[in-house]
Amino acid sequence: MKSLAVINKSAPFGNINYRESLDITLANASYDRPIALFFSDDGVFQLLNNTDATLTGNKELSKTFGLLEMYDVEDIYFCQSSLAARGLCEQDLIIDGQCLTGPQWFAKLAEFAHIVTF
Amino acid sequence: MMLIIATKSPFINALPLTTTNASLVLTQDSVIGVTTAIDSQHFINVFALESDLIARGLLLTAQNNADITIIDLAQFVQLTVSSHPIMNW
Repeated sequence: MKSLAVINKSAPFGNINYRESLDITLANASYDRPIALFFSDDGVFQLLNNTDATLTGNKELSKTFGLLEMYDVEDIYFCQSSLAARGLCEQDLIIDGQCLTGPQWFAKLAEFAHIVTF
Repeated sequence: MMLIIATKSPFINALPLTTTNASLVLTQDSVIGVTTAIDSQHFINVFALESDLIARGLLLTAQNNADITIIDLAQFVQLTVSSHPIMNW
């Protein structure tokens, strides 16, 4: 089965990109497709500690991200420069993953057969 | 006093820089701006909406930013009533 990389570039709550990204990730993972999640640009804000999505009428993100482990989605990558530009570090994030520099980021993406961006 | 209401991430839509008599309110995704150095000298005040900060896990960051004044919804409404003109950004 061909592998899939899902890139998250959108901040949460302003649109439904973050929900669609998680839906496509969990749906594909349920069919055992090799899948990885990438977070860059404002997408890194999806992973911040202490969010309260209920204030925007949405489900709490930390609960949804908790499903990733159950679906064996373990390949998670963060863009180092995106975190730095926003004054964030890995310790601010609710899930574990690997922080990649620019060249590492694109080298990792090149390993996947399909790439979708939200 | 002009009131500028920002709604989009400053990484997507850069915050305005004005020399007029204006205040800026960060709402929705624009509250992401509290993680960056806002050029507050261009504004009388820079406000950020508390509920949007809490939703995005950025309340503590905003509290540690001396250039930001955190306001609740009632204060936001009061600002819109007392300001003229109002511009969405």
